[in-house]
Amino acid sequence: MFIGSNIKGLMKILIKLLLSILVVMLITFLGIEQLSGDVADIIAGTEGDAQQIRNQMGLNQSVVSRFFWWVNAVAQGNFGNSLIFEVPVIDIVNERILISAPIALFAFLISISLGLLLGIISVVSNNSFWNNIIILMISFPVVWLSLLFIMIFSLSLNILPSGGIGMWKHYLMPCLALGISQAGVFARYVRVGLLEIQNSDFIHFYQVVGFSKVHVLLKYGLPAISGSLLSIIGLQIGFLFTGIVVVEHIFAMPGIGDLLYQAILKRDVFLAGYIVMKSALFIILINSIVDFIAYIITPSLRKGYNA
Amino acid sequence: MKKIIILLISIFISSVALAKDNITIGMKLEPPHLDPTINSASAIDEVVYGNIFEGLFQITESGGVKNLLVKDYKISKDFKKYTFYIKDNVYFHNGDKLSADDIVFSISRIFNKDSINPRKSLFDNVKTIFKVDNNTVVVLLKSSSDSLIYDLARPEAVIFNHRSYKNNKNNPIGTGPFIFDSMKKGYFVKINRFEKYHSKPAKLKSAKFRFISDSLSASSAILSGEIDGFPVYQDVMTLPAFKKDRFNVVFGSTEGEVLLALNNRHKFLSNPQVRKALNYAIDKKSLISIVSPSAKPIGSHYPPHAEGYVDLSNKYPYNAGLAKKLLKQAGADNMTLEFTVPPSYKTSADVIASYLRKVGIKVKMKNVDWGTWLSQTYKKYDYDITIIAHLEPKDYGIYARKNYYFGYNNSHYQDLIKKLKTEINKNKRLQLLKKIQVTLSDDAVNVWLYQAPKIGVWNKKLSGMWKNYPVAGNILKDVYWQ
Repeated sequence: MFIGSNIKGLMKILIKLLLSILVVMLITFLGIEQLSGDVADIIAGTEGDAQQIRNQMGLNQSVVSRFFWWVNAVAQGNFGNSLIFEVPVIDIVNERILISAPIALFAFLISISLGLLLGIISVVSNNSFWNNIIILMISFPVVWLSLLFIMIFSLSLNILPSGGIGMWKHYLMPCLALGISQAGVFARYVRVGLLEIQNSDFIHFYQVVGFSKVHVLLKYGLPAISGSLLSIIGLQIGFLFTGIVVVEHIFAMPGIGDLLYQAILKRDVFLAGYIVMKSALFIILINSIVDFIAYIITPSLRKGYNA
Repeated sequence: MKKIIILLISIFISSVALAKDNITIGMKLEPPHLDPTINSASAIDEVVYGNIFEGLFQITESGGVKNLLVKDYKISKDFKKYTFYIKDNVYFHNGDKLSADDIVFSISRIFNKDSINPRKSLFDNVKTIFKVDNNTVVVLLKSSSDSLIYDLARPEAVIFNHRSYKNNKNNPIGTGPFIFDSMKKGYFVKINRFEKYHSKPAKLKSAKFRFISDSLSASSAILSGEIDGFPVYQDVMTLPAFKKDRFNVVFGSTEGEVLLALNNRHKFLSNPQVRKALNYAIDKKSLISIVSPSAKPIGSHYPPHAEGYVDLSNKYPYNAGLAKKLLKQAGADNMTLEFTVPPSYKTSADVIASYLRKVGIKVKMKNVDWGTWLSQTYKKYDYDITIIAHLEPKDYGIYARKNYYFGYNNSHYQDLIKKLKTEINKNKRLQLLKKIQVTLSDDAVNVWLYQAPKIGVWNKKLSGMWKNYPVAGNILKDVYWQ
């Protein structure tokens, strides 16, 4: 019963996934196609022979045939060579993901743990001071925070490198800057959630029975709002992507954000397409995982499914 | 006493150990790969030219040309036959000896029919190249020309090993003073000294090029000492941060004329009087004081540091009243111009637009990226006015091209360029160069704004860095730490 219905469901999901990849490819392709100038123009510059480059790269064919050529190649697992870097897109993208992934992961962990901590403290302490701290953090744009860090830790104290990659030291400031700027937003959701629930009957009940407020909020309040917090986390990951582009630029880290920007500027459709495909898949995956966890930990959702 | 001696010795040892023999150079743009013969990106040249790859000749810091892989050469009287005698102690980084075959191969690759060399058009005039013996190569031209030597010194005409050329994109093998070590795309390229170099070896043991696109990040990387120098620094605003006791901030020359290009095909701009009005309407000096305080104003398409320069920068002094009058006479006082602005000229464009608006011209701004500029403005002539730097040296010949984006067509000028190509007499050449500058200025083809300066920032203890930028390149052979 469980397996039978799930294979059907899985097929549906798979078809949806394939369709979304196709749509992503089409949008990326058309998006770059409608820009004026192509990669051959850029390689040739002012004095080169762009037409000859087009001939050699197979760019002299019609838009439609080029698109289907690409789809066909991708379907066979061949994502092609970057038109501008002239190496397989998979190699160059994987190399850059190794740089971006740690930033994303640690910034994410910082934002969640710090956000949770601040949200709880602000509710428990019942003190506007902490709420103000949260608001202050929300209003710190990541750009400003990054520059502030560089000024303090690189230029004044000279203990951290102002940019680059290679050592753990390089990741400290970008992860903190990105993590802190996102923590404020998350803290606010935690705070609002807890504030709402602290007035509900079951919390009052536990308090009347004799448990302390902190104990009740942590043990019963937090799990109760975890479902909605999870969906916020799913959304936060999307914002994280934008933040990564910014910190990679400021800290001169050759990550995936920087690569996508370059790919679009140079009209490198295979490279841009592969990055967008991969990011889209990643976001779909994360959101499915979040949904799944929410489904497991939230009894009400589970009930709904079973009924 | 003993203690003092030990102390002195230890100081001596530590100072020897500390003497740096490597360098990290910052660059704004990353090279897509490292083969300068198949891609026009100047970031490639800035890494490989004179470091990894070398040509028969090399462009010098002052903009001249010197022998590099040739020990001597001969030019026939009619400027149609060039004979090159190649040095016989030159080795590639993979151990192969440089041969006449490599040279014939590399140069034919530029002008072949299926060539994708970014300077292909400059070699259109080459009829053939052949090997005479192992150290002698001859080039025959279709028509007389004096520009071959210079063109052979360009980064796009470097000599490849005919056996390894295919891998030069990611594993370049040349004859230069540095061997390619490693590359992390988007981040750095590392090169090491080549011990079997044909001339005096490089002083540095190794060098790293690091790519930092954000100018604020670049300035903090220099200030914190993570990079030792940024030879082509673009952010004028952050220059005061580099204090004199730690850094050299060096203003050098480039071959780049920054100009407001006017589409001479345009309904109103085809009238020289309107173009002159635009020349009067813009206050170059105040523009320069805002966007590039160290730059020199120019009045024609010719760099002030080059031989034969005529100062025409004051031919159309700022005069808004006169500009208005000229526009009115030409019936163009109400015209609308679309101003195509490529990246990094935004501030200049805003200043210029405000001057044009002052004389009654309606200006519509259109920001474009490089790809759009190339295809729309440069190739399809689809623009009214645009701002750009023409970085090519000795490129006054572009005004003689009938199909060029300026749309300038003057047979008298075309004759001057034709004569220049075959004129050997130095005085007559200088006369022609003067006429060229004056003609362009008389016709007010464009509004020439200023000669782009090269601003370099580097550690005070570094010696041998090039002050000028006569060619896209960061030649590190003679760089050392004091």
